[in-house]
Amino acid sequence: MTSFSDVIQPLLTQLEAMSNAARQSIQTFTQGTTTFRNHTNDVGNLSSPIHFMGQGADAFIAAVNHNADLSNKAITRLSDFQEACDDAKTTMTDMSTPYDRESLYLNNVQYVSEFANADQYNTYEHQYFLDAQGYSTSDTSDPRTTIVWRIREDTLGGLSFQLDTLLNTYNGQTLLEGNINFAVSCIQSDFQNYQSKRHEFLNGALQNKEISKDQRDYYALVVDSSYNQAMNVVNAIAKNMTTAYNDWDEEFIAAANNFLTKISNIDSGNLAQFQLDNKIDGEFHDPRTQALLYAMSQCPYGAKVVQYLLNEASSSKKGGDYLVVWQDGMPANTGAFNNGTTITLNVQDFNQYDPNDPTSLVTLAGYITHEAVETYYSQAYGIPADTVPMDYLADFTNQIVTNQMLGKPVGYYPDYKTWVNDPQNPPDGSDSGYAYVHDFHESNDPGGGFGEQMSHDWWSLWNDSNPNYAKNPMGLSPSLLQNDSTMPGWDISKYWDPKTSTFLPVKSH
Amino acid sequence: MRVTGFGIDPIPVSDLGDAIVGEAKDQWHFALYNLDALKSSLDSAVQQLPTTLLNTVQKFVGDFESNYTALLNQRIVIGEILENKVAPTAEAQEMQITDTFQ
Repeated sequence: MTSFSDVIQPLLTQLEAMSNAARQSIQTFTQGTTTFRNHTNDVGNLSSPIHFMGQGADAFIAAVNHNADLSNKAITRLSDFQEACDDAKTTMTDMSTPYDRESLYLNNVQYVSEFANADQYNTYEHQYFLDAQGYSTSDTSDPRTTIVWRIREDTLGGLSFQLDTLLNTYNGQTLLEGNINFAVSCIQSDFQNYQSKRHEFLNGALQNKEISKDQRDYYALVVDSSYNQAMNVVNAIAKNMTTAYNDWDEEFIAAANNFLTKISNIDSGNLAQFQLDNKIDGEFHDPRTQALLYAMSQCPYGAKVVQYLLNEASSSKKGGDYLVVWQDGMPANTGAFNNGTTITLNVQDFNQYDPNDPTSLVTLAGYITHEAVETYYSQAYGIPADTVPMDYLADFTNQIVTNQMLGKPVGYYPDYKTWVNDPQNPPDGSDSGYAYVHDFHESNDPGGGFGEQMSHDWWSLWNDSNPNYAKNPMGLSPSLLQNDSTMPGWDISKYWDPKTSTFLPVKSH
Repeated sequence: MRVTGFGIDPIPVSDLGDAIVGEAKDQWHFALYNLDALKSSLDSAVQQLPTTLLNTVQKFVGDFESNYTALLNQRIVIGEILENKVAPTAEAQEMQITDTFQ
């Protein structure tokens, strides 16, 4: 007899197979990771040290431990996956069991009496249930049960191949109702056959003069009324089954959705993000800096700024806490500043932070990006930060990161001439060089006596230049520091590739 | 030769190198084999799932497999660094390790 568990058995089997595969691997991977981590101790116990260059054995041990930490996190995710498979299998099995009980479908269905006397010309309701396509009333004390069996068998039989249909509320219920209606029509056909046979029997009895015409007419009425009674029972059962099957389908869909939600929440694709967060924690210990860098690392160019700061911190003897500091006592939204190495952020700006909303740090992200660009040029080339072309570029990177964090396109950015001459805070929301020129009296010359005349490769004349400073993940080059005298009509946004979030090479004019 | 690291006597570097490289070639590679086995078992089950569930589960399996493969490959890189006894340079060491995650 087909049950609801049979219907979902293919899914239950796969859930069990996935759970078993995960369980075995969890054990193997955990053991392997523990063994791997233990080698950390071995490195520290060497009689003759391994001659690591650069970061040395500590970095090696840190790499081993970091790998083991990440592995354990991955294994935890596999464990979450296994648990989700087990839960789904248990839920789906348990929810199906009540629907396999016949009594559920007999609520408020008229009982079918099995009473009969010796009158062979009389027709009784229960007789319609005797020819039940292989289901015998002798197998049950209640003839109605044979109807439940018949409908169930005609309905559930092929459903295990239609789980996708069942997992859609409308399609699933349409399928189930269609199957039940088909099963009822088959039963009705059988009942009508029996009804016809009884009429033929009575007509034969009349012809043989076993009964009179009046008697035939009376018994014929009984045949039809008992047929109607039997069909009323069938329809009532079918109605109950339709309701219950729909309930089962809703529970099945809910269990499947719950499983999907759990799998989605495992967050399996973010190991790299976890690794990056760990690196941030390792270099920057101020929770405000950590929160800011986590938030920035979620967007393409923000991640490059974070990588720059991480690279700078790991190569600096003073570390990340020296590179990014916080100052209290400044009014909010007054920006940030740097001294060529250290970036100072305003504590007041952090008051906007909402732990549940990384975009609450978007203003600070823009500020630190602006300053990071300037410290790069300062450290890599000794180019001063307080020049108008530098601010033109740095404000553009500010706009890139803030808009990317908000999930928006980088958007319009004015050409150099417009940016320099527009009054502060133009209505279109873009930044302006007005303040840099008129309030801060910045120079238009980023390269002292060289920059404006030497075009894209002037910086190569610099002594001690280090283009690969902090590995330059922001992809900056001095050729991006142009103005209208070095590149008439200079428009930095033309050298930005939004698809790759990188700056394109600047061709000399 | 298995080196525990808990002995009183210091461990010769060559023994440690041999042990860890042995692990890299044996246990860590075996872990990759185990990962393949896991992936193949999961893939087989996933392919038979209803389409409604397929994509989400397939994404999890794919993400897990690529992440854990990166971690296992990183272990092999670490093993190779020890096998050579000398890390090429700090920068190269870092590059070799971090690049597997990009």
